[in-house]
Amino acid sequence: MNLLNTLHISISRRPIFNFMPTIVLLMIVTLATILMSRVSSNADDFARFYVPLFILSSLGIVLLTYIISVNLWRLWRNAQSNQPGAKLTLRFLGFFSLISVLPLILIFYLSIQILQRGVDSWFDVRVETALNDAITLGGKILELRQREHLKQTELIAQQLKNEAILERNENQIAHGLSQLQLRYDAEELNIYDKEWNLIALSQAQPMLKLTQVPNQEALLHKLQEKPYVALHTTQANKFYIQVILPFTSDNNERLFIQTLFAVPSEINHLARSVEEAYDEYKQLLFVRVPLKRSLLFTLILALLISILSATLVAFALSRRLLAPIRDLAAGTEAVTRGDYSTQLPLRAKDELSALVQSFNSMMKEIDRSQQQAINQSAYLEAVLGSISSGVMTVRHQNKLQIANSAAADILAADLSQCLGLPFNDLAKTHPHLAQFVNAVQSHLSEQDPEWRDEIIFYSESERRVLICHGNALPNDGMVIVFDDVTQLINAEKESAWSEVARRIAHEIKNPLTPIQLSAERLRRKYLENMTMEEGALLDKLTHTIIQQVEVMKQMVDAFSEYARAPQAELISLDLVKILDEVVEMYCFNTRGLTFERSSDKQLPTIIADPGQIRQVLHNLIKNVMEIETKYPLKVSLITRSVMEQGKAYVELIFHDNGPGLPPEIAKRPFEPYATTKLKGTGLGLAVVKKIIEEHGGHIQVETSTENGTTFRISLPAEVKQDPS
Amino acid sequence: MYLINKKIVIRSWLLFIICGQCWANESAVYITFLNIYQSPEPNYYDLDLTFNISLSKKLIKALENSVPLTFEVEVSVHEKRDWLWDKKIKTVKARYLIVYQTLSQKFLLQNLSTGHTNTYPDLTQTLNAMGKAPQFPQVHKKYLQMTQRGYLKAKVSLVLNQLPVAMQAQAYLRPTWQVSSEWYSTPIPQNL
Repeated sequence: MNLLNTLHISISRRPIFNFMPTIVLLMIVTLATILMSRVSSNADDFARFYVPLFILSSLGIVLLTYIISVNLWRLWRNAQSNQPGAKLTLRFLGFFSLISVLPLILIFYLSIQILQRGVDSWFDVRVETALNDAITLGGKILELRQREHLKQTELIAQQLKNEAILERNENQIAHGLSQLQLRYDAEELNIYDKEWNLIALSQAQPMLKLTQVPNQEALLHKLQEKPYVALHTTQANKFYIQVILPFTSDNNERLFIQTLFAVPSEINHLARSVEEAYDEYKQLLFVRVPLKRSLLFTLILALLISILSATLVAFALSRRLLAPIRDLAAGTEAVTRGDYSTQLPLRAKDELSALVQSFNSMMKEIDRSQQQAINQSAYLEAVLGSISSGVMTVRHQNKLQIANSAAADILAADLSQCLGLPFNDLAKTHPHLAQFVNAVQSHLSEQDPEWRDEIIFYSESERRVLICHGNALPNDGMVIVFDDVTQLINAEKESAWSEVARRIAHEIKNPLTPIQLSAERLRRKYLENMTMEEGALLDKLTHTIIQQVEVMKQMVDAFSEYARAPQAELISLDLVKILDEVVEMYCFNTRGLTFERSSDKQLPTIIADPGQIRQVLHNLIKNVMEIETKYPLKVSLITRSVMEQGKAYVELIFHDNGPGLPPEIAKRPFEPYATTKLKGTGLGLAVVKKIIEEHGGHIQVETSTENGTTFRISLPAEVKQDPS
Repeated sequence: MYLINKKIVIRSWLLFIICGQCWANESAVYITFLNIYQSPEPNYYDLDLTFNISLSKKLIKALENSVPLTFEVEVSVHEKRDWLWDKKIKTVKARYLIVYQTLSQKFLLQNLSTGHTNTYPDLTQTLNAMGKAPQFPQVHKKYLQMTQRGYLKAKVSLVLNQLPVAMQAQAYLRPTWQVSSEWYSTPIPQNL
């Protein structure tokens, strides 16, 4: 198992590099453990491996601490950000760590006790006493030898004096000294004067220089009184005894004799052995406390490595054990996010794996159901989208849930932004729907299971009439279906007005001619026979009758014309050309009316009756010309190509800078008889609307006192047949 | 202002550390004389170095408990340079071992480079003998060519890694065990 991989520490994408840190870490820990084992079992190894052990262990501890810290930090961060499984892993880690650390601490405590006793057991009172005795014994033996050699030196001095060797010549002195040196088995025999100048010497091994006399001046001073005996060590680790003895020669000269005696090799060996053992013991005794500390330190290193390794393993184990649970948590979270496509990996064949498998099956089932629901929803949406009635559903505390495209079109509002919002908010986002919302809301508040209502609201200065049905949904909410019957009502009205016009034309037109003829006859017959005054009155009266009859005839003609609109002769027409022709006619008008023109370059043609289109333009321009203002009037004519619901239209924007339509007209601008003029029939705009609608177009009007009046006329563009 | 405060803080710390060291460390070693002169041997120069050394109770106790102490005397030849740090030309070292001998109850002084030994009845005499740096290595003439700008630097210290291993950890950490002189420097005589 690659620990570091499990712990999400990746050094490189290449597999060998993924394993490298683990291998290095394992090597370090293993090597440190071996070294620790050797160090604690052998004193020599302790000296040899202490430093490498310290370095390796420190390296291992630093590496382990780093890895654990990084992982702990990541885990803590994940837990803080509520990542799935992080808190559980943290808890498991704590649990595993506790399980592993508690026995380790117990073992550590026991090890300390064993270590203390183990080191203390090296130091036995009996051994110490024996070594002390041995060293004392060795010292005594060497002391005896020193005394013996002092006596021998005294004898040599006595013989030198008795035999007067020093009174002889140089050769005889040398010979005499050599004889004495051999006789007493001395290594060296030297004679010095009082100034410590060498007078004579004899050596067993002339090339071997044993030692120099230490601190000569002090020694000389002391030697005035008593002999000097000392034990020395040679470079070759051999003991020798030095004796310096003052004596007086025959001629009363103060001289010194120095003898050097080697300690017999057997005694030398034993004494050296005892000394070495004693020194080692003393040294060990001296370093006992630091040694214990060092071993304790080693133990602490081992404990730290063990705890850290156990924590690392606990990390890996908890991650591995909790991986399926973590996967499940992540999967569940994905479900809450609405992602039903999640499939969890199968890590092992156990109970958790079975759980994961069940989860995967459940997810597949949910995904399929979800897909079905989506399909059904799409189907429902398509059905709702294809019907011309507006459909809305309100559910869950009166929140708008569904609104089809027809609803948006009828209400002239973008309802997609309002989905999920309370139904009342429709009036906030779309103020023109306030009447509609209030009407529906009243039924929602009353919780009518089924209702029907006619609702009127104004959309972009257009009055709209809706027929609404409401039905309560099974559990909660309501479905509202509504139809825009404005056009139907308008058509009915138009039909009624046409009938009225036809009847008026029929009933009024007939008596008008006899009235006119009678008035003319009266005038002709009686005017000649009357006085000037009476004649003038008759002329005025008959003239008024004839004039008013003429006006009534015109009115009746207009009604008749409105009622019996001629059959349109549709041809391909360039709207710009028609505009040019009509505007040309009004260029030199007496009202000072001016025109401003603009048009798209590539404007499509329309299929229309040119006479009727001219009629439309005439009616609109005549309306403007009849406006009474103190400022010059101006008409803007803009023609452009537009797309409405995927269909191409040619739009004519007819804008004047007049004072706008009177308020009473603005409410119903296209209704017949809607006029404020004395001589007007109120049929001008009604005819315009009728012609436009008969051409498959539509007309809208915007009017205000500040900006004047704007008519937007849309006529379907001609669909060119593809030659291919 | 900030720099002055920083300097004061650094100096205070140094003073505190030095005072702490002096209080904790009874051992002392300082070089009193360093010179170089022509050796009887051609092309070589002898170094004459003396230093005073006293050991703390802890070190004396260690010696008395058969713990050997190794001292290192290091002398190096340097050349002064104007724009760069001084160049180290040559370093000569000598190591001296002091051991207490139980049977003879004497202190052994051994020059580890030459192997030469000598015994002394007490520690004072031993330290005095070592303070003369006996049998110190010679320096070849070629290393002293730049006499105009040359100088010698010397230092004496206790070699901690030669102590018993069990003691090394505490020796490195505790100032009592760190016996070391300051660097002593002297110019190389012009008339060599």
